[in-house]
Amino acid sequence: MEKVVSEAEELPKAIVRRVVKDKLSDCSPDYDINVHKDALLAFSESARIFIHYLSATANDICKESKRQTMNAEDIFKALEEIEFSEFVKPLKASLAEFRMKNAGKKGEAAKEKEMKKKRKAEDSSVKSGTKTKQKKEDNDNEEEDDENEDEEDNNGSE
Amino acid sequence: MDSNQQAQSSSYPPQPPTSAITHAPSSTTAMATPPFHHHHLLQQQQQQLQVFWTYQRQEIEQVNDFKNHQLPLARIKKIMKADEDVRMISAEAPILFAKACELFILELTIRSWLHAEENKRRTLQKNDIAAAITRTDIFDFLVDTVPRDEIKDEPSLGGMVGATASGVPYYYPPMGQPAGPGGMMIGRPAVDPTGGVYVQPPSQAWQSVWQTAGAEDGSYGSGASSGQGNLDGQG
Repeated sequence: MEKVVSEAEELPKAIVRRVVKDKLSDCSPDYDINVHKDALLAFSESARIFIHYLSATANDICKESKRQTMNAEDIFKALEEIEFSEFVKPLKASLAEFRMKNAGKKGEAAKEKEMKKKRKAEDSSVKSGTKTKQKKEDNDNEEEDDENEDEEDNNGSE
Repeated sequence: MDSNQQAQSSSYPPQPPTSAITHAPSSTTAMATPPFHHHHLLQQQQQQLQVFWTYQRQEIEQVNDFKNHQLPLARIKKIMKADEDVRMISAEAPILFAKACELFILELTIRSWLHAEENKRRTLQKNDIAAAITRTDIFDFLVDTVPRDEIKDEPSLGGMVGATASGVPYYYPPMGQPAGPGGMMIGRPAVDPTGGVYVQPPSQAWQSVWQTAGAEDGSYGSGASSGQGNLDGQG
Protein backbone atom coordinates (compact mmCIF):
# COMPACT_ATOMS: atom_id res chain seq x y z
CA MET A 1 0.00 0.00 0.00
CA GLU A 2 1.40 3.34 -0.93
CA LYS A 3 1.82 5.87 1.74
CA VAL A 4 -0.01 9.06 1.02
CA VAL A 5 2.23 12.06 1.41
CA SER A 6 0.17 14.46 3.40
CA GLU A 7 0.88 18.01 4.37
CA ALA A 8 4.02 18.80 6.22
CA GLU A 9 4.22 17.91 9.87
CA GLU A 10 3.31 20.81 12.05
CA LEU A 11 4.24 21.82 15.53
CA PRO A 12 1.51 21.28 18.09
CA LYS A 13 -0.75 24.31 18.17
CA ALA A 14 -1.24 24.28 21.89
CA ILE A 15 2.44 24.50 22.61
CA VAL A 16 3.07 27.24 20.10
CA ARG A 17 0.15 29.10 21.56
CA ARG A 18 1.49 28.75 25.06
CA VAL A 19 4.92 30.04 24.12
CA VAL A 20 3.42 33.04 22.34
CA LYS A 21 0.89 33.88 25.03
CA ASP A 22 3.42 33.61 27.82
CA LYS A 23 5.72 35.99 26.04
CA LEU A 24 2.92 38.40 25.31
CA SER A 25 1.99 38.58 28.94
CA ASP A 26 5.60 39.52 29.62
CA CYS A 27 5.45 42.20 26.98
CA SER A 28 2.16 43.53 28.16
CA PRO A 29 1.54 42.77 31.79
CA ASP A 30 -1.28 45.23 32.24
CA TYR A 31 -3.67 43.96 29.67
CA ASP A 32 -4.19 40.83 27.70
CA ILE A 33 -3.06 40.57 24.16
CA ASN A 34 -5.10 38.24 22.02
CA VAL A 35 -3.71 36.25 19.20
CA HIS A 36 -5.65 35.90 16.02
CA LYS A 37 -6.04 32.38 14.74
CA ASP A 38 -4.24 33.19 11.50
CA ALA A 39 -1.40 34.69 13.43
CA LEU A 40 -0.99 31.50 15.41
CA LEU A 41 -0.76 29.52 12.20
CA ALA A 42 1.82 31.98 10.93
CA PHE A 43 3.89 31.44 14.08
CA SER A 44 3.71 27.68 13.62
CA GLU A 45 4.64 27.81 9.99
CA SER A 46 7.48 30.21 10.62
CA ALA A 47 8.88 27.96 13.30
CA ARG A 48 8.64 25.00 11.01
CA ILE A 49 10.53 26.81 8.26
CA PHE A 50 13.08 27.89 10.81
CA ILE A 51 13.70 24.25 11.63
CA HIS A 52 14.25 23.52 7.96
CA TYR A 53 16.51 26.49 7.54
CA LEU A 54 18.65 25.69 10.55
CA SER A 55 18.62 22.01 9.73
CA ALA A 56 19.75 22.49 6.16
CA THR A 57 22.52 24.83 7.23
CA ALA A 58 23.73 22.48 9.95
CA ASN A 59 23.54 19.59 7.55
CA ASP A 60 25.78 21.38 5.07
CA ILE A 61 28.29 22.12 7.77
CA CYS A 62 28.21 18.50 8.84
CA LYS A 63 28.79 17.27 5.31
CA GLU A 64 31.66 19.70 4.90
CA SER A 65 33.36 18.08 7.84
CA LYS A 66 32.94 14.74 6.07
CA ARG A 67 30.73 13.34 8.77
CA GLN A 68 27.45 11.51 8.48
CA THR A 69 25.70 12.54 11.61
CA MET A 70 24.62 16.05 12.42
CA ASN A 71 25.77 16.91 15.90
CA ALA A 72 25.55 19.74 18.39
CA GLU A 73 28.61 21.56 17.08
CA ASP A 74 27.18 21.63 13.58
CA ILE A 75 24.06 23.22 14.93
CA PHE A 76 25.94 25.88 16.88
CA LYS A 77 27.99 26.77 13.83
CA ALA A 78 24.85 26.88 11.75
CA LEU A 79 23.26 29.32 14.17
CA GLU A 80 26.23 31.62 13.79
CA GLU A 81 26.02 31.36 10.06
CA ILE A 82 22.36 32.28 9.84
CA GLU A 83 22.98 35.16 12.24
CA PHE A 84 21.15 33.74 15.19
CA SER A 85 24.26 33.74 17.31
CA GLU A 86 22.43 35.07 20.34
CA PHE A 87 20.78 31.66 20.57
CA VAL A 88 24.05 29.87 21.04
CA LYS A 89 24.62 30.66 24.69
CA PRO A 90 21.20 29.64 26.01
CA LEU A 91 21.29 26.55 23.84
CA LYS A 92 24.64 25.50 25.20
CA ALA A 93 23.31 25.91 28.71
CA SER A 94 20.26 23.85 27.85
CA LEU A 95 22.41 21.15 26.34
CA ALA A 96 24.68 20.99 29.37
CA GLU A 97 21.64 20.57 31.58
CA PHE A 98 20.28 17.81 29.39
CA ARG A 99 23.59 15.99 29.36
CA MET A 100 23.82 16.09 33.13
CA LYS A 101 20.35 14.71 33.57
CA ASN A 102 20.94 12.05 31.02
CA ALA A 103 24.13 10.98 32.69
CA GLY A 104 22.17 10.38 35.86
CA LYS A 105 19.46 8.47 34.06
CA LYS A 106 21.95 6.46 32.12
CA GLY A 107 23.69 5.53 35.33
CA GLU A 108 20.46 4.28 36.83
CA ALA A 109 19.37 2.52 33.70
CA ALA A 110 22.72 0.86 33.39
CA LYS A 111 22.53 -0.30 36.98
CA GLU A 112 19.10 -1.74 36.42
CA LYS A 113 20.25 -3.53 33.34
CA GLU A 114 23.15 -4.96 35.27
CA MET A 115 20.83 -6.29 37.93
CA LYS A 116 18.47 -7.74 35.37
CA LYS A 117 21.37 -9.37 33.70
CA LYS A 118 22.54 -10.91 36.92
CA ARG A 119 19.11 -12.23 37.70
CA LYS A 120 18.73 -13.71 34.29
CA ALA A 121 22.13 -15.28 34.48
CA GLU A 122 21.10 -16.89 37.72
CA ASP A 123 17.92 -18.20 36.19
CA SER A 124 18.63 -19.22 32.65
CA SER A 125 20.01 -17.53 29.58
CA VAL A 126 21.83 -14.23 29.55
CA LYS A 127 21.18 -13.65 25.89
CA SER A 128 18.33 -11.16 25.98
CA GLY A 129 19.91 -9.08 28.68
CA THR A 130 23.11 -8.60 26.79
CA LYS A 131 21.31 -7.75 23.61
CA THR A 132 19.20 -5.11 25.22
CA LYS A 133 22.12 -3.42 26.81
CA GLN A 134 24.04 -3.32 23.58
CA LYS A 135 21.14 -1.88 21.69
CA LYS A 136 20.78 0.88 24.20
CA GLU A 137 24.43 1.84 23.94
CA ASP A 138 24.23 2.00 20.19
CA ASN A 139 21.19 4.15 20.31
CA ASP A 140 22.64 6.56 22.75
CA ASN A 141 25.50 7.58 20.55
CA GLU A 142 24.02 7.76 17.15
CA GLU A 143 20.65 7.85 15.72
CA GLU A 144 19.60 5.73 12.82
CA ASP A 145 16.79 6.80 10.63
CA ASP A 146 13.78 5.92 12.66
CA GLU A 147 14.90 3.39 15.20
CA ASN A 148 15.08 5.74 18.05
CA GLU A 149 11.57 7.01 17.79
CA ASP A 150 10.33 5.48 21.01
CA GLU A 151 13.21 6.60 23.10
CA GLU A 152 12.85 10.11 21.86
CA ASP A 153 9.18 10.16 22.52
CA ASN A 154 9.78 9.17 26.08
CA ASN A 155 12.12 12.03 26.52
CA GLY A 156 10.25 14.70 24.82
CA SER A 157 6.55 14.18 24.61
CA GLU A 158 4.46 16.83 26.21
CA MET B 1 3.31 -4.86 80.43
CA ASP B 2 4.71 -4.65 77.04
CA SER B 3 2.24 -2.25 75.71
CA ASN B 4 5.02 -0.36 74.02
CA GLN B 5 5.22 -2.83 71.23
CA GLN B 6 1.60 -2.68 70.38
CA ALA B 7 1.55 0.92 69.29
CA GLN B 8 4.54 0.81 67.04
CA SER B 9 2.94 -0.57 63.98
CA SER B 10 -0.14 1.58 63.93
CA SER B 11 -1.26 4.99 64.93
CA TYR B 12 -1.17 5.75 68.54
CA PRO B 13 -4.64 6.05 69.84
CA PRO B 14 -5.01 9.46 71.39
CA GLN B 15 -7.96 8.37 73.41
CA PRO B 16 -7.60 6.52 76.65
CA PRO B 17 -6.49 3.03 75.91
CA THR B 18 -9.67 1.57 77.23
CA SER B 19 -11.30 2.46 73.92
CA ALA B 20 -9.03 -0.23 72.55
CA ILE B 21 -9.35 0.64 68.91
CA THR B 22 -6.67 -1.54 67.53
CA HIS B 23 -4.85 -2.99 70.43
CA ALA B 24 -6.67 -5.60 72.37
CA PRO B 25 -3.87 -7.00 74.42
CA SER B 26 -2.81 -5.15 77.52
CA SER B 27 -4.46 -1.96 76.48
CA THR B 28 -4.88 -0.82 79.99
CA THR B 29 -1.19 -0.46 80.47
CA ALA B 30 -0.70 1.79 77.47
CA MET B 31 -1.56 4.78 79.49
CA ALA B 32 1.24 4.09 81.83
CA THR B 33 3.96 5.29 79.44
CA PRO B 34 2.36 7.92 77.18
CA PRO B 35 4.66 10.96 77.17
CA PHE B 36 7.93 9.49 75.92
CA HIS B 37 6.39 6.95 73.63
CA HIS B 38 3.97 9.38 72.13
CA HIS B 39 6.76 11.73 71.28
CA HIS B 40 8.79 9.02 69.70
CA LEU B 41 5.87 7.96 67.60
CA LEU B 42 5.20 11.44 66.37
CA GLN B 43 8.81 11.79 65.38
CA GLN B 44 8.62 8.64 63.38
CA GLN B 45 5.51 9.78 61.64
CA GLN B 46 6.99 13.13 60.84
CA GLN B 47 10.02 11.48 59.39
CA GLN B 48 7.87 9.27 57.27
CA LEU B 49 5.91 12.24 56.07
CA GLN B 50 9.08 14.09 55.20
CA VAL B 51 10.37 11.19 53.22
CA PHE B 52 7.03 10.89 51.51
CA TRP B 53 6.88 14.52 50.52
CA THR B 54 10.48 14.69 49.41
CA TYR B 55 9.79 11.82 47.13
CA GLN B 56 6.64 13.47 45.83
CA ARG B 57 8.48 16.68 45.10
CA GLN B 58 11.11 14.82 43.18
CA GLU B 59 8.43 13.11 41.18
CA ILE B 60 6.84 16.41 40.34
CA GLU B 61 10.13 17.97 39.39
CA GLN B 62 10.90 15.12 37.09
CA VAL B 63 7.64 15.58 35.28
CA ASN B 64 8.45 19.25 34.86
CA ASP B 65 11.76 18.32 33.34
CA PHE B 66 9.94 16.60 30.56
CA LYS B 67 7.63 19.54 30.21
CA ASN B 68 10.59 21.84 29.78
CA HIS B 69 11.24 20.37 26.38
CA GLN B 70 7.84 21.64 25.37
CA LEU B 71 8.08 20.95 21.67
CA PRO B 72 7.85 17.22 21.10
CA LEU B 73 11.16 15.79 19.95
CA ALA B 74 9.63 13.18 17.69
CA ARG B 75 7.68 15.80 15.81
CA ILE B 76 10.76 17.93 15.39
CA LYS B 77 12.65 14.98 14.09
CA LYS B 78 9.92 14.32 11.54
CA ILE B 79 10.06 17.89 10.37
CA MET B 80 13.81 17.71 9.98
CA LYS B 81 13.59 14.45 8.14
CA ALA B 82 11.17 15.94 5.63
CA ASP B 83 14.32 17.32 4.11
CA GLU B 84 15.79 14.39 2.26
CA ASP B 85 19.29 15.72 2.55
CA VAL B 86 19.14 15.35 6.27
CA ARG B 87 20.07 11.82 7.11
CA MET B 88 21.48 11.01 10.48
CA ILE B 89 21.18 13.30 13.43
CA SER B 90 22.59 12.87 16.87
CA ALA B 91 20.23 12.22 19.74
CA GLU B 92 20.93 15.68 21.04
CA ALA B 93 19.92 17.44 17.85
CA PRO B 94 16.15 17.45 18.39
CA ILE B 95 16.66 18.79 21.86
CA LEU B 96 18.68 21.70 20.53
CA PHE B 97 16.15 22.28 17.82
CA ALA B 98 13.30 22.29 20.29
CA LYS B 99 14.98 24.96 22.33
CA ALA B 100 16.07 26.94 19.28
CA CYS B 101 12.53 26.85 17.98
CA GLU B 102 11.23 28.16 21.23
CA LEU B 103 13.72 31.02 21.22
CA PHE B 104 12.80 31.76 17.66
CA ILE B 105 9.10 31.94 18.42
CA LEU B 106 9.87 34.27 21.31
CA GLU B 107 11.81 36.60 19.03
CA LEU B 108 9.09 36.63 16.45
CA THR B 109 6.47 37.22 19.10
CA ILE B 110 8.22 40.23 20.57
CA ARG B 111 8.72 41.87 17.22
CA SER B 112 5.20 41.17 16.09
CA TRP B 113 3.88 42.56 19.31
CA LEU B 114 5.81 45.78 18.74
CA HIS B 115 4.01 46.24 15.48
CA ALA B 116 0.66 45.65 17.08
CA GLU B 117 1.53 48.14 19.78
CA GLU B 118 2.51 50.76 17.25
CA ASN B 119 -0.89 50.38 15.72
CA LYS B 120 -2.57 50.48 19.07
CA ARG B 121 -4.07 47.06 18.81
CA ARG B 122 -4.47 44.47 21.47
CA THR B 123 -4.81 41.59 19.12
CA LEU B 124 -1.83 40.18 17.34
CA GLN B 125 -2.59 39.66 13.70
CA LYS B 126 -0.88 37.98 10.86
CA ASN B 127 0.19 41.26 9.36
CA ASP B 128 2.06 42.02 12.56
CA ILE B 129 4.11 38.94 11.96
CA ALA B 130 4.55 39.85 8.33
CA ALA B 131 5.78 43.26 9.37
CA ALA B 132 8.20 41.79 11.86
CA ILE B 133 9.57 39.57 9.15
CA THR B 134 9.99 42.47 6.79
CA ARG B 135 11.72 44.61 9.34
CA THR B 136 14.17 42.06 10.60
CA ASP B 137 17.01 41.05 8.35
CA ILE B 138 17.57 37.71 9.90
CA PHE B 139 13.96 36.81 9.22
CA ASP B 140 14.46 37.16 5.51
CA PHE B 141 14.12 33.46 5.04
CA LEU B 142 10.51 33.80 6.09
CA VAL B 143 9.53 36.24 3.47
CA ASP B 144 7.78 33.56 1.47
CA THR B 145 6.20 31.91 4.43
CA VAL B 146 3.82 34.50 5.72
CA PRO B 147 1.70 35.60 2.84
CA ARG B 148 0.42 39.06 3.25
CA ASP B 149 -3.17 39.99 3.35
CA GLU B 150 -4.63 43.01 1.72
CA ILE B 151 -3.12 45.99 3.29
CA LYS B 152 -4.92 47.29 6.25
CA ASP B 153 -5.05 51.02 6.28
CA GLU B 154 -2.90 51.73 9.20
CA PRO B 155 -1.06 54.97 9.54
CA SER B 156 2.61 54.23 9.52
CA LEU B 157 5.62 56.00 10.80
CA GLY B 158 6.22 59.18 8.90
CA GLY B 159 6.30 59.55 5.21
CA MET B 160 4.27 58.00 2.60
CA VAL B 161 3.01 54.55 2.82
CA GLY B 162 2.56 52.68 -0.36
CA ALA B 163 0.87 49.42 -0.82
CA THR B 164 2.86 47.03 -2.78
CA ALA B 165 1.40 44.27 -4.78
CA SER B 166 2.05 42.12 -1.81
CA GLY B 167 0.11 44.39 0.47
CA VAL B 168 2.77 45.22 3.01
CA PRO B 169 3.20 48.88 3.68
CA TYR B 170 6.57 50.22 2.76
CA TYR B 171 8.13 53.07 4.49
CA TYR B 172 9.74 55.63 2.33
CA PRO B 173 12.77 57.16 3.91
CA PRO B 174 13.24 60.84 3.37
CA MET B 175 16.30 60.24 1.24
CA GLY B 176 15.51 57.82 -1.43
CA GLN B 177 17.99 55.43 -2.79
CA PRO B 178 18.03 54.73 -6.42
CA ALA B 179 15.60 52.10 -7.41
CA GLY B 180 16.98 48.72 -6.80
CA PRO B 181 18.89 46.32 -8.91
CA GLY B 182 17.43 45.62 -12.26
CA GLY B 183 13.90 44.58 -12.13
CA MET B 184 13.80 43.92 -8.44
CA MET B 185 11.21 46.34 -7.39
CA ILE B 186 9.49 46.13 -4.11
CA GLY B 187 6.28 47.05 -5.69
CA ARG B 188 6.64 44.16 -7.97
CA PRO B 189 4.69 45.78 -10.67
CA ALA B 190 4.89 42.61 -12.66
CA VAL B 191 1.96 41.33 -10.80
CA ASP B 192 1.51 37.67 -10.86
CA PRO B 193 -1.74 37.20 -12.65
CA THR B 194 -2.59 34.05 -10.84
CA GLY B 195 -2.91 36.07 -7.72
CA GLY B 196 -2.41 33.50 -5.07
CA VAL B 197 1.21 32.83 -5.81
CA TYR B 198 3.64 35.12 -4.20
CA VAL B 199 6.49 35.34 -6.65
CA GLN B 200 9.70 36.12 -4.92
CA PRO B 201 12.90 37.65 -5.97
CA PRO B 202 15.79 36.77 -3.69
CA SER B 203 14.92 38.21 -0.38
CA GLN B 204 18.13 40.02 0.39
CA ALA B 205 18.01 42.17 -2.67
CA TRP B 206 14.36 42.56 -2.07
CA GLN B 207 14.81 43.65 1.42
CA SER B 208 17.37 46.32 0.77
CA VAL B 209 15.55 48.11 -1.94
CA TRP B 210 14.02 51.30 -0.79
CA GLN B 211 12.08 53.43 -3.06
CA THR B 212 11.51 57.05 -3.04
CA ALA B 213 7.99 58.23 -3.22
CA GLY B 214 6.30 56.28 -5.90
CA ALA B 215 5.70 59.15 -8.24
CA GLU B 216 9.36 59.72 -8.88
CA ASP B 217 10.02 56.23 -9.76
CA GLY B 218 7.92 55.13 -12.58
CA SER B 219 8.54 51.50 -12.12
CA TYR B 220 6.54 51.29 -8.99
CA GLY B 221 3.54 52.72 -10.57
CA SER B 222 3.67 50.62 -13.64
CA GLY B 223 1.51 48.05 -12.13
CA ALA B 224 -1.43 50.15 -13.01
CA SER B 225 -1.46 51.94 -9.76
CA SER B 226 0.56 54.64 -8.27
CA GLY B 227 0.07 53.78 -4.71
CA GLN B 228 -2.40 51.99 -2.64
CA GLY B 229 -5.01 49.82 -3.96
CA ASN B 230 -3.26 47.62 -6.40
CA LEU B 231 -4.34 44.53 -4.71
CA ASP B 232 -6.54 42.86 -7.19
CA GLY B 233 -5.79 39.25 -7.40
CA GLN B 234 -3.39 39.36 -4.53
CA GLY B 235 -3.56 37.92 -1.13
